Amino acid sequence: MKIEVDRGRCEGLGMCEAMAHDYFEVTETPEGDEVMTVLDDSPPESDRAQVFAAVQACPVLALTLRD
Amino acid sequence: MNIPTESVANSTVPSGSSDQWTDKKRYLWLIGLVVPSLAFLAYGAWLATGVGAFFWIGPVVILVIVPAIDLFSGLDRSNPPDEAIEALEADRYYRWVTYLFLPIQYVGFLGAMYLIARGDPLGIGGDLTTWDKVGLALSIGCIGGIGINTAHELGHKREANERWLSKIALAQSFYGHFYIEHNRGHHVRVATPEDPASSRMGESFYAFWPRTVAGSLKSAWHVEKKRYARRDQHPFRIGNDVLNAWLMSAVLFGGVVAWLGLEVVPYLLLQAVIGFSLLEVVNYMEHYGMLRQKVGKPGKERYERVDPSHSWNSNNIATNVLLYHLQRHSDHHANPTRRYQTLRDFEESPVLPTGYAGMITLALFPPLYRRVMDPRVLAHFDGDLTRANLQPRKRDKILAKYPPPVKQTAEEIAAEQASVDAAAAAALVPDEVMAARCPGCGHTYEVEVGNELEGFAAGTAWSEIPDDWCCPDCGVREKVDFVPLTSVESA
Repeated sequence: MKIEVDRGRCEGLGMCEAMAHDYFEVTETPEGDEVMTVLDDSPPESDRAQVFAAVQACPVLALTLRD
Repeated sequence: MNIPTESVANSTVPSGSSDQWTDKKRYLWLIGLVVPSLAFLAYGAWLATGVGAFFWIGPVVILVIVPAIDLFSGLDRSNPPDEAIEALEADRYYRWVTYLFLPIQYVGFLGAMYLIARGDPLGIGGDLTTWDKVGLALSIGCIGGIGINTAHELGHKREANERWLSKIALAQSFYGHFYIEHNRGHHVRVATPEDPASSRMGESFYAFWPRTVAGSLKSAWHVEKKRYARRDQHPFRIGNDVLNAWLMSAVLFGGVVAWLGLEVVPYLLLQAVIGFSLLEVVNYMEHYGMLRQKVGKPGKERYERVDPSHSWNSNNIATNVLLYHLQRHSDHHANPTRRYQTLRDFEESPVLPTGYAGMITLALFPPLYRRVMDPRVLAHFDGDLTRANLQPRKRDKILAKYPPPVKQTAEEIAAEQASVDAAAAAALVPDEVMAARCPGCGHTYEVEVGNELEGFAAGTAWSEIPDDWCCPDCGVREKVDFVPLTSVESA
């Protein structure tokens, strides 16, 4: 299972972080931009449900989960 | 992509029996189309009787008739079984029910504007009085407002055509920016003081209205501007979803005025304001007083994830069918792209005393609304309103009226916890716990089945599960949070 991010779409809104903070983190740059970092793009199978919830929650459809 | 199996809270159908399961609400969803049809009903009734009062049908249906039906028709708490969800989501019939709303909405809208400007096109009914015109504009506004709900359902979908239809449905109310603000603003900040679309305890609808209308506009523009700023572009371009949605409204309104003359302008504006106000009054009740707590290390605090306890729900069937299950709002916020027909009721969500339509009527009378809702917010936070989203101006007054429980010393807490534990142990003999359900995601641990993956053999008693065991489905709730059940059926 692998998390893929479409950087052209991601706006750093932070829904993914709220759903699965072990895998996504949003930080603010000095310019005031929110930037999302994937902390671990290959989650174990046991965390599928929460990672899937984060992917589903993305308002701009920037996240995909590949098997 | 595999869709993880989730256990469903309150399933009415035992697992494995889905071959017999049919959606009892399948054809009831067509009732949603009654709303845009009200314009034609009003016209027909006026033609037949000559009674202009029929043009007031919209507000009468929404504020009086539907609330009354809700009071008598009872609750519907049924959820589709897990196995049926995928097929139910894929069934295109349900999409067409929502698509059909739009042509009826717009034929009604244009017809109403014609009636207002030129009188009866058939030459039977003659011209409308000013009161008839006002009533008709209000009714059309109500339809546009419910149309925003249809737009809401469509705007959350991954399919591009549905997102376009969403913007078209919003054009009548000049509220196209809602589609941006709702998905990228409200869903992110829901139940926080920063969200313009989450109301605060002590805030009346009339105080909420300007805050949310201005706040949503600002938020939508900000979100789109930022999107372009990331690419070092200015936001004034047609791809800007706020601008192209407004352009759609401008073309629609401009076209109607060019066709029917300046005379329709006040009615066009009136129906738009009624439309988006109807949406905002629904927004007002959905998260009243709800607050996500801050979690995380100092300096890196964020709001806790959205869970079922952050939205008010209702299961009154009449409004639920009219609003495409919007009232199963907790599941909607947890799973924004889930289609209306598969939204589920969670037992642990806070519930409104009646359907959304009845609550709209109440919200128009703030003292009444607060009398009904404030005690429910209080009960939801176990008497501690410091955990609620309070109107800043009224914070001191509210906390003086409902003082938070006095903070106890560590010993007192320990003693109380011990007595609670003892009482719980006495109330539920461990052997009686046959299953336990996660309050967050609905995952159910069944003693009889055990959980091989987690290392619990079949028959492992609930009392033998370690206290630090975490829900394997959502990974958020721990054993202590689980709701013990005395039978598997009640899961």
